[in-house]
Amino acid sequence: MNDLTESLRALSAIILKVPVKNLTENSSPDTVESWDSLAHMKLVLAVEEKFKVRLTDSEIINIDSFGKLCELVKGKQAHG
Amino acid sequence: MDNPYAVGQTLYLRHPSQQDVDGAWPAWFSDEETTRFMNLRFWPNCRESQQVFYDSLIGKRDSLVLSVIDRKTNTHIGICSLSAINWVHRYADVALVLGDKRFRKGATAFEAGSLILRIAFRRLNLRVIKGAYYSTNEFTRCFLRVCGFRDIGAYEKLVWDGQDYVDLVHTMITQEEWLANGRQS
Repeated sequence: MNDLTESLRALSAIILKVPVKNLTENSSPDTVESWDSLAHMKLVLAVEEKFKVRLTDSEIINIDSFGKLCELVKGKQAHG
Repeated sequence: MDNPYAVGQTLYLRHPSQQDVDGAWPAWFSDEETTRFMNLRFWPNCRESQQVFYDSLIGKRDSLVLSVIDRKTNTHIGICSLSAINWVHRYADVALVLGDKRFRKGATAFEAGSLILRIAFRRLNLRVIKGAYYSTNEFTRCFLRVCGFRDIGAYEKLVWDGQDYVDLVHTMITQEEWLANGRQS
């Protein structure tokens, strides 16, 4: 695991109100009860602020797991 | 899909139907949790008053009310609207209700909001969309913020949220801001 993944995991755990160790790549709105519409939007706002990235409509809609979120932010950072 | 007006990745929007009136729609506007931050929460809704509202929508051009439909199951899960459309100044008020609680997860609300804003700014060529939220309504505050709205002021302690008098915060987004905010795919 790299620093970015761990940083995202810590941030997501706070917003989703779950223990860090419970968040895996496959954690999703279907498996994490607290991942409701509000949590999804808070996650987007927090990620954009902390990692200085901007997510598009379709990217926000396509975040269907913690793994997808990590992949997205890594891609954004890699491309500046 | 049945008569789609705007199609998203997991949702589509269409004109409300008689089936919606005969379904769960009326009950959403009686539900205490769903209506907690709405001014109409003080009175119960019923199928008859929903029917009157539905009938009033036919041919109406100063508001656009659309049913939010889950594409996978073709389930009516909510309602969104552009209301009080002013065709001279080209502004309107936005609203969204996800009545079916099973769908209040992930990006559902955001996707519906994204679709209604695209309709407002691209299809109807409106200039400004306004919104408002009770200061204790975290959901709507975050929803409007993610959609690109900015707070422009508040009526202090104007509205009763069931526990206290709280601020009614007004927000807006212009067509230019929407086009430039980096959300468009």
